[in-house]
Amino acid sequence: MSNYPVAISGVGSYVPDQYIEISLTDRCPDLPMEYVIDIGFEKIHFADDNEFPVDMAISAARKAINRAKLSPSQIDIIIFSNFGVPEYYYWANYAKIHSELRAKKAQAFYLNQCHNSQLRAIEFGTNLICSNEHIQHILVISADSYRNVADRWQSFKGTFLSDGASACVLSRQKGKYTILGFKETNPESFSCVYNYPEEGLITALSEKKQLLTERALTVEGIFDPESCDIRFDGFFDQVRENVTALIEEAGLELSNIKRIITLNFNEKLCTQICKALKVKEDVISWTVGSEYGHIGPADILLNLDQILERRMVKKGDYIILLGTALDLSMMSCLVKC
Amino acid sequence: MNTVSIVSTGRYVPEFYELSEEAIEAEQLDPDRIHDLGTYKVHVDKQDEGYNMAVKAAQSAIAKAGITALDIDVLIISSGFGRKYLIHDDAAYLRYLIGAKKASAFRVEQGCNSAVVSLNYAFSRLKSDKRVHNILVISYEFFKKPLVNRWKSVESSILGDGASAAVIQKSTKGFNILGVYGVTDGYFCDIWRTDVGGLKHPFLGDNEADMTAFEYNIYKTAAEYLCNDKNKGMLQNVLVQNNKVVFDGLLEKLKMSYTDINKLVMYNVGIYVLKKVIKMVGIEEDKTSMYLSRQYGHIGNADILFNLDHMLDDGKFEDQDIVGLFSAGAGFSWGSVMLKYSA
Repeated sequence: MSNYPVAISGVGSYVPDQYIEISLTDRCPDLPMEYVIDIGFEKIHFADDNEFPVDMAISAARKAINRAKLSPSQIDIIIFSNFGVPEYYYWANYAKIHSELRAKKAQAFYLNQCHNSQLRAIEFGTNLICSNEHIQHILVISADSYRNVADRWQSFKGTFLSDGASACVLSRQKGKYTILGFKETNPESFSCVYNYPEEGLITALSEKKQLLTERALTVEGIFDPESCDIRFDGFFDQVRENVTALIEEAGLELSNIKRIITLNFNEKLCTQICKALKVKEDVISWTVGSEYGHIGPADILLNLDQILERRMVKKGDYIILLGTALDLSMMSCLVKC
Repeated sequence: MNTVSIVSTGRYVPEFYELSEEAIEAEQLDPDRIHDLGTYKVHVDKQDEGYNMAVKAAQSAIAKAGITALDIDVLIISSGFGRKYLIHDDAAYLRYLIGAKKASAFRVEQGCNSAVVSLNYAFSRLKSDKRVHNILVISYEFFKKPLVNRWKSVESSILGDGASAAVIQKSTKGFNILGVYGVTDGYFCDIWRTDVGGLKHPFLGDNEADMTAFEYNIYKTAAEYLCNDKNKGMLQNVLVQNNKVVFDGLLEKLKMSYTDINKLVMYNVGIYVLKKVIKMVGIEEDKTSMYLSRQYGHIGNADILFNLDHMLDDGKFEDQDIVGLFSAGAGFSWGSVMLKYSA
């Protein structure tokens, strides 16, 4: 087990004030009640007309930097990641964040591994600090909005899409939330299921209007939209193998893990992960994630932020951050409080 | 062993090419601008090879490294401009096409400096994670109308299609990576932007204005953001200063100086830009990659690994050469890498 000299020194999140309570089903389109219940969200948040991912990212980043007791000028690197719907087809959004934060000495770039982008950015940042003695603080940010480009109820089967952002600062230090290690698992590829078939270099100009459609976003063959089940039989075995390997490398057992923080996909999936790992359902972050909907990769640090704010962990506790990309690549990260 | 090296590189360009002289009339270009840029031809993906260009560059690098796709632990994809679709997990898709079944795959973006970010990941991961042995970096670009006009969309270069790749290992063979450094200044990020085609102004494709706005046109946005002499002066200062800052920063960290650099590999923007960088570094032109800018034009973020591979084939490197890599990306960002070559 790598024992990195890196800790999460500050976490921040942002969700728009506006939300829809899922229990008010008249606000939802015609969806079977059983399907809505299986997804299990209490509410989803949505940005207003003048609020976009970069704006939300900056809000979350400022909180994380403040909580790390730093100023933006102390940040060495900014890694921005999201699910992938940008403000513009081509734009250096990471550079805009750099400019707005006035992180003058930082380098900024964008990273994408779909829903696993944020955990990948944390891993990237951790390795950068470990390998370069000149790097002290790295800011990891994720933000997404689906306004205009998706039907947040139906574009992505099995979940409801929400808007928001989250961030953390990684610092060269021990203590606070120390990163103990990462574990990756990569199954056979499911990459071909995920094109947005309009607007790009191949089909740049089309008569079809831009909207993330069911055709574009349904991960056919992996996810059963009727039952909210993952069709990929090996998925939960993969979760168990990944998490078990991570904690065994640290000389721990599953019973040592206080919280497992996952994406906010749906309640049924979280329940199945608990069963696969043989842990109680309150261990998983759905307890807080159900209040926010599925933002994308930002789910992970949003849930961590909420768990810390609600004092759901104490000093000495172990936390696992668990992310999955669209090709079902999986990454976990062990953190000690 | 704690030395990390680029042990192999690969490159690919489509067979078909277009000549700048012929494009002057066909595209109604300013002949003086084209001559100043110095690029006389660019390769063009006429047969829609697309991702296969990246696959071919990757296969070349993998073969030269003496490994197979199954040995790859991590695959990093980057393209400065060319998204095939607005949303597509191209990293996972290339992983599938290459057959790197055991690899995790993701994408980084920093405009035409993206390949330097990828190298930084590979360098830092291999330095700090003993479980990882082979990292594959792939850069690819292709440009198509109406979104991008390779002759007109960018002022400082002519855009060519192609791809490059590198295998990075814990090894003392090849190009030992001594250090990587980057700088970002986002003040002028809005110059490089398409106004339509995202959350703010979804492309509806049902009126002429949308279609016009969807075209990537640096002149249009630059005209808005560089509308006065103050902004023009600021941008010029930012561009010139950071070319130097990104080299100075790395040399300082490595306790080296400009005189230590034996060879210089740059991105393939216009000759008049490259000459300023060459002058700043204080190196003879024949020890740089400038000749490749003339032959291939700007293949976006694929340039630096493409040029490194090409120069190696051309016998440009000598044992123990210190090789500087330099590129910059829209937004703006600058990147430098220092290598030591072991023949």
